[in-house]
Amino acid sequence: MSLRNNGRLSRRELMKALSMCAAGSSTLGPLLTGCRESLETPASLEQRGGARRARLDGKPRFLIVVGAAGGASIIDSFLAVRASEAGAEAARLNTFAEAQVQGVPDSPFRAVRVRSLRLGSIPLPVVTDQLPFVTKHKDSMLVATTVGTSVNHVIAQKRSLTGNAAWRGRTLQECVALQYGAGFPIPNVNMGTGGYAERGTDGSLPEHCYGEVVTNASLWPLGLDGSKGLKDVPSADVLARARETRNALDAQSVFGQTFENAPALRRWNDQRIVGQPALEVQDLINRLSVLPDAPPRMPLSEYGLSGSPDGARLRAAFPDYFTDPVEGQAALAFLLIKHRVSVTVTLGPSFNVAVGGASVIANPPLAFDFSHNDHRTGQAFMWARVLGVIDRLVELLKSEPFDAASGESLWDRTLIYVATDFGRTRSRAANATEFGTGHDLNNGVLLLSPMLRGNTVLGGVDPLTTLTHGFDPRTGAPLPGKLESNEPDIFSGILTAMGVDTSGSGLPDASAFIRA
Amino acid sequence: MRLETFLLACVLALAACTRQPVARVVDVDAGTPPVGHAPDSGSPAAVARSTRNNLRFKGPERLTADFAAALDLPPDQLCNELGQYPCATFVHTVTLGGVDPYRSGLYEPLPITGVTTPIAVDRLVLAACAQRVARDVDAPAEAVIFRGVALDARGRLVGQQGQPVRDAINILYQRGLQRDAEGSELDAWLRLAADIESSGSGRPGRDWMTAVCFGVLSSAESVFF
Repeated sequence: MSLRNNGRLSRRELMKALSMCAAGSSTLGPLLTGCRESLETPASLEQRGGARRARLDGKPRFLIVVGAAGGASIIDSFLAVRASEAGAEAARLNTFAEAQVQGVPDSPFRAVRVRSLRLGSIPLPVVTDQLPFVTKHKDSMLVATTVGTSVNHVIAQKRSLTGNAAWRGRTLQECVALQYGAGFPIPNVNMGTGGYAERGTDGSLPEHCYGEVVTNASLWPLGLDGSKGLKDVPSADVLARARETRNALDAQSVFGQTFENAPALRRWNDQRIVGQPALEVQDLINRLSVLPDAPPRMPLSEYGLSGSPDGARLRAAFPDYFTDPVEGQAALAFLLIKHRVSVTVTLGPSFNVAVGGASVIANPPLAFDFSHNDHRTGQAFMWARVLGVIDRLVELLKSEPFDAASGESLWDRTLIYVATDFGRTRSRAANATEFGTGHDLNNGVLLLSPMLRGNTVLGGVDPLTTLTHGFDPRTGAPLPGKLESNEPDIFSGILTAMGVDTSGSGLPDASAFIRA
Repeated sequence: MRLETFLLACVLALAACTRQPVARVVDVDAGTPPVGHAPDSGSPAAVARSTRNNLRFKGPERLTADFAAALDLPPDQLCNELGQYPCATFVHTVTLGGVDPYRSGLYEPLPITGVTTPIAVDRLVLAACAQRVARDVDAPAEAVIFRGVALDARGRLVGQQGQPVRDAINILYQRGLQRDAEGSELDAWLRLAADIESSGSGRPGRDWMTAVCFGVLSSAESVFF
């Protein structure tokens, strides 16, 4: 009888543990851990996550998280159900008329088409069709069904990034920044909202792993140099001398000595003395700026600024970059990755209404959560909004070489994760075409990347209930009876596709996500 | 429950207890600053180290209020990017430790300063100092900081080590940090004046004014509490 054999302590091991503990020994933990680890076989370790160093090639991969705030419903997009498939309850479930759900040739995906004269109570026509997007991107699309653990927006948003604390509470972005971000100026830029902008709970990571929060993408680059773009200020040389004097006096001052061990001051000194010059020398205030030189609103040249050489094509791709936050974020995301400033960028619509652009309303209030007011048009409008931005971002990334030797583009090494809070309730008044929905744990998520097993649905949907069911994260086999939470599976699948070394994490094997 | 399991549970619970933080009655916080402002003693032994190290970054509202008061400038004119987008209340709010509930759903300040926070502070201070210097130079009779500091025809400080220059430094410390400058601090800023003058700057006096204002107000002592 021994923990080494059957998971239970022998009397000898128990006495050894007690004597170590009594002596304050620090080896008790390793003894017990060693016993536990001795039960693991290579196969079981691999089953729990195992080493995946084989996928590491030393070159960075890029993760873009699109936080689809409010609950992007997978059955209002790629897993939509026709009323004819749903049996007797079709009229009372969120099912669609035949013509609204389009099949996609040679693909498991579906695409929804919606036409409405208004967006809920907003007199704004909604005309959307997901078919062109799915047809174009299906080979890099993977839809994985999900069951979450919270229907509170902020909590669910955060759990969509941590896999419900699947790996010490780290976010996906922090894991990617840890893996690839050490040499990048700002590895993890977060322009998300609410829980998508929160840090993980693993405080042991290097500082560079945590997200730098950006709330105004178009103007944020102005904050990447301490003096450029300001009028009537001394030259860089004079300022360098002033900073040198200041920093020396800071260290000698009573204040500096009193708090020399304060983490906040240590961090500050590191950011100010090491981080700031490293950022300023890259001229990011100009290279990351999408803004045109257009006085009087944008008088760049008057302030000695120029803007990015890519500015014109980015403004063409995202013409509403200044009034629609998501377009501004997407343009900045491209530049952050192109210039190797970041390895992970988070963006997405907020709950705030955005006015502007061709449709007048760029973002309805509450984003996807507008579904409380009118589910169908709210989902259709928001899906079109998110997919439209992703389509343009993918095109830009495809056009940008990553490695001339290998011929890879930036897109070849990028994964886009459309994270969302949760799904929506399925019920509606009989045959209603305008109805509101609540929050539901059952849903699915969209991932896009050439690194993924494309044109694939992991899991499936039961047409009689419109609820999704689970899958085996290792083999990808559908599990029709599985309705339990699978947040760690999604978390692990994304990290696996990103080539992140998850050794020792205890994460499930999610090999089903990656392209063979 | 088996005996061995029970004993092990007890032992582990006790072991865990020993790791709990123990309340301390010692309350030596910031320590007592040296009395008398001895000129450049520079002795670290004279300063007690904080045991709590509970430093807080001031955030956009406090920084704005403090800089506006120190420089006698309207808060909304301290710093505007491209002349029109407010630095502290719009462009760099969250970077400076503020919140953005309506646009971004950020209801609480970030727990720590970010890598771009010092840059935003520099911009805020530099823009404000440039304005203060311009006003003091253009209207010497109404100068707030650089009273009596004259510039010669080549833009150099008249009396680089003189009393008006020393007074200006002390005024900056008084208005910005609520204390007089230490001897070592005075010396360092006066040395900077000489350095700038020898650097070939086209307007060394004015550059020095902006530089010393920037250095004092962007110091760690100025932006933390």
